[in-house]
This record gives sequence, structure tokens and C-alpha cells, in this order.
Amino acid sequence: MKVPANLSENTENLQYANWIRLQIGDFLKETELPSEKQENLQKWMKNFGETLASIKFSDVVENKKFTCSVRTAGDLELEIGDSFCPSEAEILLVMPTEALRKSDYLNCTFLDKRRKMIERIQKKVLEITVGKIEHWSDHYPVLVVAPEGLGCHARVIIDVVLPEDFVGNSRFLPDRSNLRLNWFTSLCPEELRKFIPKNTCEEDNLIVSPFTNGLHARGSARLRIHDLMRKHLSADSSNLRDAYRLCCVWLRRRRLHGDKGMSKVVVAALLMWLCVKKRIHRDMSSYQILRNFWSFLANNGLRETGGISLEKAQNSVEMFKKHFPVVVLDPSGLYNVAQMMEEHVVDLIERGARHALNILSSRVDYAFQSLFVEDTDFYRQFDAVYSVPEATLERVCQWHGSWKFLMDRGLKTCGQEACVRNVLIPALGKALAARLERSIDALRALIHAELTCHCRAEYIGLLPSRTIGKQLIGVILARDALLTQFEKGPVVGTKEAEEFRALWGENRVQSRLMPDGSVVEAVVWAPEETRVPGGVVTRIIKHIFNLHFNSSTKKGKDGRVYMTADFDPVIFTASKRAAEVCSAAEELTKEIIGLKDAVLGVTSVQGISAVFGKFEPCPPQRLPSVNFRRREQGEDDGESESKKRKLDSAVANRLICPEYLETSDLCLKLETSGKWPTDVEAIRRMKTLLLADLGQKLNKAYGLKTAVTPDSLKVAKDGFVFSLFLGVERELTLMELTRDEKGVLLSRETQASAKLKRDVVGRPILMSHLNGLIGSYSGWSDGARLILRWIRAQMISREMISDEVIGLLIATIFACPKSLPLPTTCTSILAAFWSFIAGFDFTTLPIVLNFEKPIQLESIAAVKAEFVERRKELPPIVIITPFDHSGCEWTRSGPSWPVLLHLKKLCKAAVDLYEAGCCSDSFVPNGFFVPSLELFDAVIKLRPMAVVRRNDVVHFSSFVKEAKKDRLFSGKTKYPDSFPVLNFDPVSMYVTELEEHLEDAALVFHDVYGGNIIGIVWKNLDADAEAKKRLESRHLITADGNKRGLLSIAATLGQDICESICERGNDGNLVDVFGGL
Amino acid sequence: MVSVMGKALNKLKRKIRSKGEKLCEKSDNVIREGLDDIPFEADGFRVVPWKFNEDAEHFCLLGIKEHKVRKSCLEKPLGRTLLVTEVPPSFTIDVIKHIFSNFGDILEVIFQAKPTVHAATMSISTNYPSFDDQSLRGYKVAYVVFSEAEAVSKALSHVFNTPFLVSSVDNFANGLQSFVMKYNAELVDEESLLLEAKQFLKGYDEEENLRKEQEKSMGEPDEDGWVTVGSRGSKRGGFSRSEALTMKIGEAEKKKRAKKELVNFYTFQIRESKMKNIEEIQKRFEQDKRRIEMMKQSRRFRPY
Repeated sequence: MKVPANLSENTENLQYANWIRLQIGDFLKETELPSEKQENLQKWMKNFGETLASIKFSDVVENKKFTCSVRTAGDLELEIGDSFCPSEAEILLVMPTEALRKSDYLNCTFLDKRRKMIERIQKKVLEITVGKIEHWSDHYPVLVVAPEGLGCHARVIIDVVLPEDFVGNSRFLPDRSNLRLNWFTSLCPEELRKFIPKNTCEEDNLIVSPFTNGLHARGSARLRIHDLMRKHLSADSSNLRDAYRLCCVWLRRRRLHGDKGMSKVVVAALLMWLCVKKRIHRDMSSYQILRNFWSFLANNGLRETGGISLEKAQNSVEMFKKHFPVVVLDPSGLYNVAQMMEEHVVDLIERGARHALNILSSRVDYAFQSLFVEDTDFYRQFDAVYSVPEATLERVCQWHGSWKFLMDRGLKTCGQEACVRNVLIPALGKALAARLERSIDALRALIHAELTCHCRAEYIGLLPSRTIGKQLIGVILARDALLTQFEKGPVVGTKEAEEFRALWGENRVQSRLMPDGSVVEAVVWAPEETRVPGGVVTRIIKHIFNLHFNSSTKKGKDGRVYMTADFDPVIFTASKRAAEVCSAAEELTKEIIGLKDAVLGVTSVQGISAVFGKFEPCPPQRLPSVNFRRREQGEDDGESESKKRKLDSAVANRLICPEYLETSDLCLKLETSGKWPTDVEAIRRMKTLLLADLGQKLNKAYGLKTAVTPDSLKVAKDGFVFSLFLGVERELTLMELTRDEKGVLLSRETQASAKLKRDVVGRPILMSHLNGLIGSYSGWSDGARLILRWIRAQMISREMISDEVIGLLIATIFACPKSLPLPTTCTSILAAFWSFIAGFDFTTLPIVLNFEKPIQLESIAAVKAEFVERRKELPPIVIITPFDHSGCEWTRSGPSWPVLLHLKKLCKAAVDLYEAGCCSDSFVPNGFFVPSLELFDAVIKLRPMAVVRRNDVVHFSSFVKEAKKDRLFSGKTKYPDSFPVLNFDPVSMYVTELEEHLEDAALVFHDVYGGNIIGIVWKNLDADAEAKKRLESRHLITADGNKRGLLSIAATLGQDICESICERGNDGNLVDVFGGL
Repeated sequence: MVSVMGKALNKLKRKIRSKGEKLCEKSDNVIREGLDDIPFEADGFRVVPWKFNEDAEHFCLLGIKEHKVRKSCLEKPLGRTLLVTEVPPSFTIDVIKHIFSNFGDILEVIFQAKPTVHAATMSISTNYPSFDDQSLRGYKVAYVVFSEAEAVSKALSHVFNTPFLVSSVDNFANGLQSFVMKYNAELVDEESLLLEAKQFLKGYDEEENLRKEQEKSMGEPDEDGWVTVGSRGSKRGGFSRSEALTMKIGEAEKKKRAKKELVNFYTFQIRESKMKNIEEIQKRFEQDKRRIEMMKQSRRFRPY
């Protein structure tokens, strides 16, 4: 489609808003609860209410039989339930006055009666359906019921409440005390008494209990709110109702819903309040209301408004603000609807809202998918997750000062959590203040593992199968958090300085003279101290734990302090090696550009290997055993240079291969000249001569060892070997020129010219842009290395997905963040990549990757317009960049659809494993780097001696030991002054040959970084009749589909490389078909 | 005309078929050990069984037939050229020569990715393989050019009783040994490489000088005083016809026209441009709807 040139920003915005609205409308229609199911649910509710009303309570109050009146709140919610947000309803059983005595209101006798009633109801309910008791505090259980067999998810809460006006309203105010210490000391079990200090006196008996008061006030307040909701969200405000549904879905997708997050009632209350304040209007579209709602949340609306009151009860707001982070009062002013919302939940909600607005303003196509359709993985929200050791927890609990606060919230239900929140996190917050993304408050991201399990279980309609009693702290770090090794404190001698010393410990703090002349307290972390998995942040957390809570943090003894960055060792040495290569390349560049008397001066030197894009997981190694001494004049070697570099046939006969040594590629650009030949072949020769000349000059001026080949110059510098290529534009132009029949000169891209263009034009630009990401994102380099290593460990070869495509996909995570937050640590980057690939819809959407130079709107619009129509012609992945508007330059050669789907499956499995692994003690990070053999139809095992990249293997297992034992030749030639064997990897060569031979029949998988097996997956030949015919005509497969012939060829081609070949038998096990090769 | 052509073609087909049948009749009398289930001919190609070595359990097949096209080229002369298909990636020119050398003297073997009328660009030096040779991957075809026409018919009528053993070819290796050989072959002697490059450029310079002189001589009057006027070289009045130049001229024309044209000046123009914009937006809207439909189909989530 031709896009008009005057397509303005406003039109684009309008079209984008339409695009989102269109999806919203479709989504709401799709997810609406069918009327039939709605009727079933309401019928069930009615019957269930009658059943509850018929329960006779006899053993609760002595010699008294009574029943409760049943009141239902939340039928409106039933109407708007869908498969994303299960319908929620609340049934209140009002205790009759005959079951109560005047003296036992809100005391422990009443609480005991209430508990017994809940237990009795549970017994009855279990006869009908599934029910589970949940403790909202130690003394306040409720019953949660999940109706079965209705074809939709629903959740019914059964609460037993006091009759209205039985207790005076003032009893429910947050400053009042409705808890007594002696209830705990006499009733609670031994395990809970450790929370209560032994020296408590009688004065401590009265406990101010805002949380418990709220629970008691909740019953009647809930009914009032429900009436209000009915009034505001009635059928004639359909847009508001739709917005409400979308908000609920959005929260659920982020797992910030439910009792411990932002409940549906809170969402409804906030929308009502915004409506009253005229910040939204019921005539607005649901999308507009939603945006305003996010805008309210993103601008700290929940905290900064100073509390929200649904009606005229503003006076009480201040009273509630003292006890709760978020205040949303019901019309009576006695109950805070958001009393269960914690600070960290508010943080996450605000963060989510900011992200939602960002993603919409950046007009990305997958915004709707990302916000409403895909789940945000729970642990992936954090850069690192730390598990608090049990010993630390006990220590914290014992000297925790706010034990009364704990009693109100429930010692049993959230005692440990409250301890961590109130003691540990403030301490860690102070220590990590400079490294957190926002401020000290950002470190409230405390996760209760049970919450995650609960959310997951609820979604699939099951109750949680296990409870993990772990306390995990999630940290969202600032971008440069891992780089700073200096904690600057206050000026020496001040009161703040004393606090600083107390926080870090006397031994740790030093006084430092700053450049401005002031002397400040400071903590300096030595580089060797921070060389632990997770870096300096982990070191700080360990230090604070040990100093203040006297906890040992040995792994396996007291739990794991550090959980989610155990991948670090995989890439630990890579960054050091890459830095060495780059520094050698920089020096070489200076030397080349500084050369005088060259035929044509070199204007620029650009790196084209992945190591220069800073994402190569296994950069070239320094050559250990070669002496690059300067050859003296007149010295005679006796043999020509080329012979020296040849592989010794004797070595090959003994089946021992030299260790892999790789060159790094550099592309040289020369001064412009009009004297280049007009013939491609002549230019090729001219390039050789120019390279030879350059080599001689480098040898003469700097004593560098060089060797010329037809298309490159090998140069040894600081122990690394570089391959220098010349990029000549005229060569490219000439290669593309062709004449048609009429003699007109045409410019047509050929296979060879496309390859040359990629090498001399595309790759240098791409690598420099990827390298540029380091400046903006500190975690880019390590994260990208880890991702590339993970993909290769899954045996996906470079032919299947090239390094460049992976680099671009990784850059997408940074440049166009799909889901929050922008990752910082390498582990969170890896998890973000898994999540991105698993969730992105490559069929319908191209990736738009903006580097520093933004892409013109018109270009994006043109590609998108054509995308759907041309989908079949385009490659599976389309990545539009400022220097490639077609989006196909790098992805044309791969991955194919089968490979992309394979990668998507792997990423999905990895995300699930990671989410599950964070809760588990048996979490083995390196397990991610072990491919599963179940995927393959046949497996070729390689001889250890043939695997030359054994130093790049993730697991230093017996395989490597075996290889080392047999290794007799280590890259050291008998000619000390020559180049060693370079870029010789027989396994890779074998894999390439195998791919060529089996092109129609199979996909070949191999880990290029020292993998010891090759996996083969047979293609579905029934779907490709031509390929089947070709294979049959070559007699590679028989008519009955027997593929033994192909494996026979694989065995022959892999002579001295393969150890054995196994094929999957009918029973699913691998069976040796060619053994002892 | 069509019927005449059709008759001729049918005649030709009958002739070929009868020739093939004769060959098959002839070859049916021969015992082929272990090759019972393999036909002599498949899809118009005679088959040649081969295997890597004596121990290999499995044998594979090559297909051969005479190279016959309407337009011949110098590199692949008609009558003397044999087309070999299904050539495995690891086969070298030596292997092909070894298989067919018994039938006559082989002048040349040309590898190509697919059968074509014209020959691919040939490598003129081992140090500088042609771009076509570099991009050759996977199974390929080979053209075997014999010195005599008889050799082709000999090869086609020959019955391969046993699979040809590739291991019997000198300098052919499999597995690690072959990779070592390949690596060593890529290493070149610097002196000879530079010498070759210099010689080539010398030859190129001589050719260029000659061409320039010829061009120069064209501009001078001949014995009779006539000057030949050519179209080569923009400096001499003419210019080479190239696509780029045509596009450049087209762009310049377009710019010129755009400068003269009054856009959104008349009422009808404003109305038309608005209409056009609305049409574009509608079109985008329809496309968006189609995309949403595709997205719905591709996502796994199905409510109810």
C-alpha cells in the first residue's frame, strides 16, 4: 500500500488508538460470560444460599440451636465474571442475637464461636463442593468455596458477621483496641510465643488493632459498597463496566489481584471515586477510562491523594492513614476497603501502570497482547530474588519491636512476612538505597511464595497443593547498580555519619577525602569481594544479614541467600576475554591507521565478529604456546610459511585434534580512489596485493606476524589472531551489475553480492549499534552472552539462527521493552528473553527495533501495511531497524518456521521451569544448559578427541576429563615461529556436511561450543512429497520410509569423529545402530 | 503449425522410448548382485549405484542422461556431454572423473546447483574460486564433457553390476581425514599467490590499455577521412544505458513535475486529498481487523 506522505503524528495516534479499541471490543465480546452459564451460576448461588440458611448450629452455644440469616454481596460481580477473572461473590451469615451474649462482643469467646461456625459450615459445604478455610488473621478465618461443574471459574467467600448495631460503630475505628495480649499468651501454641517478648507487662495487654477492627467492620460495610457499585456500574454505564473488567483482567495478568493485591472491590471503589471527582466520565470510552485510571495510578494517586472516601467521611481518612498505606473508605467511614494492600503491592501496581502508559505511547503493536492476554511471569518482575535464611528470620522475630503490630496482622499467618517487611527490608533499603531503581521505598517488593502458588492454582481451578514457608525478597535495581563499588556516606562527624557507621559496621566504614575537599564516610567494595554470583548487591545483602542478624549464610545450611543469578559463572570469563580481544583490536586499529607510505590509507577499521558486538559467549582465546617473535633479517626457516600451518597428517592419523583457536574478523575501509579496476576478478587480486602490502608494513613497523590469504590478512597481535578483510564498494557495485537482453545495465542483487554486502556494510553497522547498547544498558553484554550461550546449548546452530538475528532479538528486549521491568541483571535478561520469544506473535507482527536513530513513521506504516498480505513471502521473523526497512536482511536465511517454533517451545518450557525453580530448593541453574535428548529421533555421539572446543563446555564433566587425558596435541606446532592451526573445528565441518547430505530429510542440531552429541530430527516427509521423491530417487530412504541409509551415510561421513549412532526405537528408547565406529 | 510440432515431438518421444526399452531389454539379461530392487532407469535417467566403501551397508544412486537442449553453449557441447544428477555434496571432480573415465577421455567436469542451458561461471584459479562455486551447497549436478560423442552412449548403455566404490578414488577421504585435507587445501603459498595476482593484473592492464587504444582510435579519422561515431563512453557524447540512470532521470522528471503542480490549491484537490486520506484510514482499519483475526487464531487462549 502506498502511504500518503502527509501522514501526520496525530493520524498515527488516532489509528493506533483505534487499533487498541478494536482489540478491546473484540476481547470483551469474546470473554463475556455466556448467559447460560451466568444463569447456572446464579441458580447455584441461590441453592447454595438456601443450604447455608438451613444449617443448624447446635454445638456453638450450649443448649441453643439456631440458624443464620444469609445475605449475598457481589451478584453484580457474578455478571461480569469471565474466564480471566473468576466470578467472585460473598455470602454473609449474620449471627442471630440469641447466639450472642451482651458480654462477649468482639472478645475471644465471640471469636471462638465464629471459628466453630466456620468449621461447621465447612463440613456441610464439603458435602456439596470444594471448600477451604483461609485465615485473614490468626483469629479471623473465612471459608472460600469453589463451585464445581458449572463450566466457569467462580470463588465464593463465606463470612460470619455480627448483626448490625449489635456493637457501637466507634469500636471499629482504627485507633481502638479489640485484641488482648493474654488471648495470645494463653491460647497460642508454643511456636508462636517466640514472637512475644518475655518481659511484657500488664500495660501491654491492650493492643491497638486497626486490621482486626477492619475485619469486624467489613461485614455490613461490604453490603453498603455493593449497593454503591450497583448504582454506579449499572447497565447504562456500560463503558465504565467494561473499563472495570479490563482493569481486573490487567491486574490479574500481573498477579496483583485478589485479597493480597488490589481486589475487585478496590478497583470498583477507585473508579467510582474518579467518577465523582470528574477525572473520568461515564460517557468516555472504556479505553479512555482505562488510560485515565492508569494515569492516576502512575502519578502516585493511591498514596498522594491522602486517602479516598466514597462518601462524606473524609474526617476519618487521616486516622486510617496512620495505619494503612492506601486508604479507600466505605460510605460509613469505618472500613478501609484497601486495608489488605501492602506497600510493595502499591509499588508494583504503580510501576505496572507507568509501563502500560509507556507501551501505549510508544505505539507498539503487541501492547494489547502484552497488557491483557499474556501473563506476566511472577519472578521475572525482579532483577534478583533473595531467599532469607531461616536463622535470620528467627533472629529478626525475636528482637522485633513491633510485636503488637504482628499480633493484629496475625502471628501465624504473616508473622515472618511482617518481620521481614518491617525490619529486614528497611535495613536493606538503607544499604542499597543508591542502587535501587526508584528510591529506598522501592525495596518493598516482598514476595510471599505462597501467594504465587495460590495465584497459579486458582487460575487452573485447583487449590494450592503445597505451601512453601520461604521468605523471598525481590529487588528491582537501577541500571548501573552492579557497577558502583563505592558507597558514599555523610560528612564525618555528623549525626548521619553515626547512623551510617551503625548500618555498615565500624570495620567496614572508611573516611575518604572527596575531590571537593570534604571528608565523608564511605564503604568501598574491592573487586575481588564482589566477584560472587550476583555481584556487589549480593555481597551487600550478605553483609547486612551477617552484621545485624548474625546469620550464617552458607549455602545448604541456612537456606540460599542468593537465588536467581547462579548463571554468572557461565559467562564470567567471557567478559574478561572479550575485553582483551577488543583492546588488542583497538591497538591494532591505531597501528594500521597510523601506517605511513601505504598505497591506499586505511580510513576505518570495524569489527564484524560477534565479539565486537559484545555478545559472544566464548570469545577467542589468547594463543598460549606460540612465540610471535620478530623474524630477523636474513633468517632462513628452511620451509615455506604455508607448509608450517598445515595440519600434520600424522596428528590426524592419530585422531587427535588441536585445541580450537579462533580469529576475530575486522573490516577495513580504504581511501577513495578512481583507479580501482572495473572487473570483479581484478579487484579480488588487487585486494590481495593491498593486504600483502599492509602485512609487510605492519611487520616492518611493529614486528607483527602476518600471513596473507586470497581474501584476508591474518595478523597476530597481543596473542590474538585477527583476520583483516577489505571492503571495497566498487566490488559490490560491479557484482550487482548485469545486462538484460536489450543491453540495458541492471543492478540486481545476487547471492554472492548479498553476502558481500552483509559482510562489508551490514555487519559492521549492526555490530557497532549492538556495541552501543552497552552505554545505555549496563546489563546488555552479560545478558546477551548468556542468552546466546543458552540458545547454542539447546543445540540450535548458527545456520539455523545466526548470531546477528539473536543479537537483534536481544536488543529488542532493551529497545522495545515488552513487559516490565527493563532487565538489569543477566539472569533477568535471560528470563525476559524467554518470556519475549515464548509470547511474541511472529505470525502477525513484525518487530520494530529503534536504535538511537528512530525509524520514520511512514516506513513503519508501509511495512506493517504490507505485512499481512505478504506474510507468506516474508521470513518467519521480520525485524525492522533504521538501517534495514525491509526487516529481512538478517532473517532471510533463518530461522525457518520449524526452528522458530522449536525455539518458542524451549523458551516456554524454560520460563515455566524458572518460575517453578525459584520456589524450589532443588533449583539447579546449569540444568538450563543441558539439552533434552527426548527431542531427537537419532543421536550421534562424538569422540571426545574430535571435540576441539572443549574449554567452552558449560559442564566440566567426565567428558572433558576424558578428552584432556587423551589430548596429546594442544595447538602447539613444531614450528614455533608460525601461526598455529586456526579456525579448525572438525565437528562443525562434519555438521555442515551432514546438513548438506540430509537437507531434505532432517534437521541437524549441535552445540557449537563443544557439544559432544549431534541430534537429528526427521522432517515430516508426508507433508513434502517432492523432498520424499528426491530422497527415494537417491535411494537414501526406501519406499517404506526406512531411514537407515541416511544414518549409514552419517556414519561414513563422521569417520574418526563419531563414536556411535543411536536411533529411537519403537519403544521410544535410543538404540545403538552403528556402535564402535 | 501446432499439429506439425506436436507430431514431431511425439515421434521424438517414441524414438527415445524405444531406445530406452531396447536398453532395458538388453540389461535385463544381466545379473545385478544386491541391486534387485533397483530399476535400471528412473524418471528418464539411467541409475548408477555407488557407496563410500566396501564396509558401507547402504548404497545410493546417481542419475545420468545425455545433455540435450535447444541452445547449446561452448562449455557443454551437445552430443559429447553427459548430465549427472543427484551428485552428493562430498563428491569431487576426481570422483566423477573416476566413475566415467572408462567410457572415454574426459575434457571437463562442471558442477552446478541445478541443470541449466548456460554454464556457471568457472573458476579460473584454485586460489580464487568463482562465486558460483562458493555458493554451491547440498546435492548438485555435474556435466561431464567427453572428447568423443561415443563415450556418452557407452556410459548410457553400460550396466553397473556392482556399486561404484568411492574409496577407490585416489586422494578421496571421509571423516576427519577429509576435513584435514580440506583445511590444508585452503592454505596457500604466499609467494605463488602474490605472483598469480600480479600476473593477472598485468594481463588485465594490458587488456584495458588495448581497449582504450581501440576506443581512442575510433574517434580518429580513418584513411578515407571518416570518423566512426560510437555510443560507448559518456565523454564522447553517448552514455551507457543503465537502469540506475533511467531511474535517476525519472526521479528528476518527477521532481520537476511536482514543483510545477499546485497541491491542495483548488477546492476539488482539497476534497480529493481528504477523501484519499479517509480511504487510507478505512483501508488500514480493514487491515487491522484482518490482523486481529489472525492474532486470535494464533493465540492459544480460548475462553469457554
